[in-house]
Amino acid sequence: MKHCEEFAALLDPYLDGELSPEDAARVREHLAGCDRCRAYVQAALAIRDAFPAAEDVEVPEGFADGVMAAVRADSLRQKRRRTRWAKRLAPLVACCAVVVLAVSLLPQLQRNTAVSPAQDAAETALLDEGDASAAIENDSGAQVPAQQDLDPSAKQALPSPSDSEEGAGQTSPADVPDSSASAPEAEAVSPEAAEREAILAPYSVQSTPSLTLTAEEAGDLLSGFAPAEETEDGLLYELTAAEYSDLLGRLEQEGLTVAGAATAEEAAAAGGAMVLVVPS
Amino acid sequence: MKEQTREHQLVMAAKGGDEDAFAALVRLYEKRVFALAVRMCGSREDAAEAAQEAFLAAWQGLSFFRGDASFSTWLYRLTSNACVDLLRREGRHRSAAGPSLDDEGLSLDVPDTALSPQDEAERQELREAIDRGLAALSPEHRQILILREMHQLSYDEIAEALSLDAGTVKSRISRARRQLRNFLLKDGNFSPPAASKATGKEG
Ligand SMILES: [Zn+2]
Repeated sequence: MKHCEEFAALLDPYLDGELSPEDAARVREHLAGCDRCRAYVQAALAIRDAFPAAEDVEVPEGFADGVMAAVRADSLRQKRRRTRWAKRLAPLVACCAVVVLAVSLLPQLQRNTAVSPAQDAAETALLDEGDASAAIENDSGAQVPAQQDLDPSAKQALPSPSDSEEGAGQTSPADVPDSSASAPEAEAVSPEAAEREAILAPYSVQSTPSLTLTAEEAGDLLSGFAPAEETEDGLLYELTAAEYSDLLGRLEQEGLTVAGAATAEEAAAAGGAMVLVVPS
Repeated sequence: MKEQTREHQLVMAAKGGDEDAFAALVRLYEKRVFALAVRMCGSREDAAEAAQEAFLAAWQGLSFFRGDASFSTWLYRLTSNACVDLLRREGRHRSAAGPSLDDEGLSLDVPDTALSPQDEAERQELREAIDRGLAALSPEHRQILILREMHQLSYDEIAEALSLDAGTVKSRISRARRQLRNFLLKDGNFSPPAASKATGKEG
């Protein structure tokens, strides 16, 4: 029946109430004269009529209590994790601080191969983050010499994200308007390098490929995932490379470009990516 | 309506960290979640585990649940994911028992197989056959039919719950239904044809 082919694709939406009234009327008209399509619809309705009902399922005894016990245990764990997370961030920052340092010191390192003092300084600085802000204050007054001499106090300013920006500022022409005048030799850091640094700094915390979204941006794109951790900043999700790539695709579909997002390739190379969702 | 308002209040309270409100939501949804999980996972033990994971994921993700999808749709999505994860994790790919339904040789030439079970016993028999048929479907087909027929989600809601586009929802439902029907035909579970007047009502 040639006619039936036209209707075959309409039968299920018809059964499911997904057709416009006009189309539904056309289907009804066809059904009146077509045994084959009618048989299909009747079978489907019989299946619906006898379909197992959720109400009939017997939930294991104590199921809800078990869920709530797990929920409470999880709440406790989350509280502990929040502190752990802070500790876990520190080494990441340390390692990135070294990266930032390495970039900012690259020209100097050619003359002065003091890599390990730099690392030491970065690590030491982490241990007394409390002093870091003080160090910044000191620092901004003596940026150029500090850099030249690899003075540990300069590196102390690097470790936390805001400090890193400060670190980037050290070579930024905007922050040091007359740096070229005061230290023409030290200005071995090319504008390109300074720029690279400035780009690096804000994301220096991210050693694993990562992406930060506001809750609004994330929408329910991540609603199918359970967060790996609840941090003070927001929920942290650990995605596989494929999931991450899929997420990027969806964000793109929604016309969202997120600055600093790790690429799918980076995630693939690292075997996954972290997504932090912060409250909007 | 009243039910929805209550649900909304519970969701809002739970979002704010109210564990008792969340417990009420668990009780409200445990049957529906478990019913989906038990058919997706194939055993009550696995289903209990997956259902618990789904609720836990809901609790953890609740602060980011925006409420433009319905809570139930979102919960079914978490349940589906938990079941898929569990099966994958345990390497428990249950191969479909029974005849393969993947061949699309739809026996549409079966004359008028109208079936309207006369009594509750017949309906019960058909219900059991449907359960066997569901178990023989691929997980994707089983899942989508359950969301449609048992949980009565609209195509849009299913698209939302399963992250599918509308066209895929439509075609998958159609395939799933045809396969289930084929199973029942082969299983001999359709009762003899009833009067062959058009049953044009959608339910
Ligand atoms: Zn027809």
